[in-house]
Amino acid sequence: MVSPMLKKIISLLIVINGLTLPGCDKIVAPEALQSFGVKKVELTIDSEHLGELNANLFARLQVPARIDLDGKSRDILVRYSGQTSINHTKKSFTVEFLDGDSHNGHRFYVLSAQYGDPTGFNPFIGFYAFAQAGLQVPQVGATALYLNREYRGLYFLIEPIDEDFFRKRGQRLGSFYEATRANAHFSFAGGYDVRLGFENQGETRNYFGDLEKILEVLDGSSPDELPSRLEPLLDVESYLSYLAVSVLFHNYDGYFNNFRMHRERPTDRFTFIPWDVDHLLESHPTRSTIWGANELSQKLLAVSAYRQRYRQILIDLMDQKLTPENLDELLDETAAKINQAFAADRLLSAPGKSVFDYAAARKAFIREWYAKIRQDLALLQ
Amino acid sequence: MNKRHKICTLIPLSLPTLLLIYVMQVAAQTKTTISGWLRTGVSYTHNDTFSESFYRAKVQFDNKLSDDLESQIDIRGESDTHEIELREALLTVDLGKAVALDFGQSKKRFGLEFQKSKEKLLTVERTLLYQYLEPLGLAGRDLNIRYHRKARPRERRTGISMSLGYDEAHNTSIIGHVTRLNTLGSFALGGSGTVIIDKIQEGYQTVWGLGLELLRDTEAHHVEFEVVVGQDPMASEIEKKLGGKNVYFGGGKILYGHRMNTSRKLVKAIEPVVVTSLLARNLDDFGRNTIQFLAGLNIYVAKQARLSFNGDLQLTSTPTNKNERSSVGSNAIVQMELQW
Repeated sequence: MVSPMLKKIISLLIVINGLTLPGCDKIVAPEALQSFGVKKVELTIDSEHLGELNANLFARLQVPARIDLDGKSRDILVRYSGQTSINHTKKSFTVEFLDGDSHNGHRFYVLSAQYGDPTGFNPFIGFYAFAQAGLQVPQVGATALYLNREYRGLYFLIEPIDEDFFRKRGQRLGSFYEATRANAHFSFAGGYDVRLGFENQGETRNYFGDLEKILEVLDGSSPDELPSRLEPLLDVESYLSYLAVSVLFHNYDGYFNNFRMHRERPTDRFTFIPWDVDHLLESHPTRSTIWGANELSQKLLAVSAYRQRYRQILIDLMDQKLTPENLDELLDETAAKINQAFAADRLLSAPGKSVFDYAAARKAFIREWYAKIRQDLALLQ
Repeated sequence: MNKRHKICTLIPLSLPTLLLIYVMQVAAQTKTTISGWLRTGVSYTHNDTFSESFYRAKVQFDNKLSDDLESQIDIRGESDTHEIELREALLTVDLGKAVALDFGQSKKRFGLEFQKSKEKLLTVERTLLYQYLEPLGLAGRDLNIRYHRKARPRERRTGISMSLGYDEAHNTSIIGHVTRLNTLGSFALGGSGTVIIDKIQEGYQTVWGLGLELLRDTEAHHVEFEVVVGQDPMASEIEKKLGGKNVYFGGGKILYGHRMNTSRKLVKAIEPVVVTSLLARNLDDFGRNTIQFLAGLNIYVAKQARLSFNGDLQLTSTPTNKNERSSVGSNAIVQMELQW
């Protein structure tokens, strides 16, 4: 016996379905997601967990998700990442592979929006340049990122600098600091506490003594005393190379922020590793000079021998490994690689410029800046 | 100066002490009830190459601290993470006559489905509209203070709920819900409204949502009609950045469930459920939408144990041809749920 209410409801459902179904002339298979000539990465997060992720943005809450990468579908945990960039419209993600799984030898990986870079070139140019200067750098690859099948734009799979990074290179994690919050200083002046600008991600998390020792030496040494007191602690050549590339490429966000300091054992010296190079090749009102910025640069360049060595590194890079012609080639290759993914990225392509326009502008900018640096080399005499 | 300093020290010290004394006093009278559910099953997503099994559990502790004060703690665990999570934690002050004030991490009660817990839904998962609303932050959970007054058939026909919440994305939301029993015949008429001050890169934007519902809930029949409109905060942020304007969505749902009790030993009742929904993510492009047809069957093997089958066909117009639809998001779930 069917009740009148049930009859009415069923009739209504049939009517609604009858009205809507004729709109479906054809039911088709879902469209294949395009790779746009770069590696395609698909993140799938169910609505409840995506809601939790979004509602806990600044808490960086991890939620379960699935990633399709390199033809494999895997369970992961995902969270939003970044410091100031976490609030940007185009957000970066950090994924954690589960159950012993990994990507490129890493349990964690970063899907970076590189939001500070309107061109899509900076991670490629930046890490390439630092590598040419002899520094360790993370691997980077361009990706077309989809979240729940919606294209989120051109992203960058950037190898995180963590324990797996060093293990892959046959090294220990040892002592390892991250410069953060744009507040990494190399002087105790004004009562500075290193915890305000450095995070210890090394083997001994709450110990900052080896870093503080460097600041003590920098604060308490005259230019004559500095080399003998500092060199047992810090690989000065590594920092001068870091400074040279930062100056040549206007890495203005890399003086008080973003760099990493690492040494394997207490008897080793700290070396520098660049990170997050989305702000490159933009003139900065105070930091775009041959002197760079921060207290470490100032103290080192006050020493004549270091100044001469720094000058030579700049010349070698401009004349040999990072010549404008070499960089032209890198820019052209990168433009060809990311062109389609860039064009399909609504936020990146909004200003109406193509990657080829940006490549041409970058080439001119580099030539102009190199000419200025060559002029200013005399200041280092 | 010194005296003032002492007083300033005493105040923060005295507050936790008083709280501790109060908690010790009420602990002596605390009555705790434990409820929850265990769910296990298999889900299959169409056009995907996998089906996966899952198990999830909820344990809820309700502590009666005094005659007018109660706390609730909701702990979840799931096979996806192998982790236990504190999902909700709130204090309820009973103001009498089914009027109460809640404070804590709990649901953002926008729309019909977020007025109740998931285990009280007739479908295994929330329906299409809410799968869309939750990631946008119009529904979900946050830290909120909520005043609510339940409708009672014999005393007052109107129930209300008002909340003010804040979440870890630095969004502030105000949510109101009103329901009036037996307004259209035996149907209760209800409405929801929310305004969110939404943190975005450029500062803040104001986002709103409105819902209208008709509900009939008897032992045999459960009928829901629902319409929701509002502003999509994420799409609006992007479009405004690109020089465009706010993006508004709209959708509707009809749900019908019919519970039929049986006298069989292993099957106490069966409950077929049908849902049809329509969701247009951008009202300026209404032709591009998703239609949901969900058919489900709940088999109650005991009063608090049910076996559910849900087949959820979701047809979404393709970006290139609005007359073509793909079955992205369609899925099937078989689930056993035990409540206690």
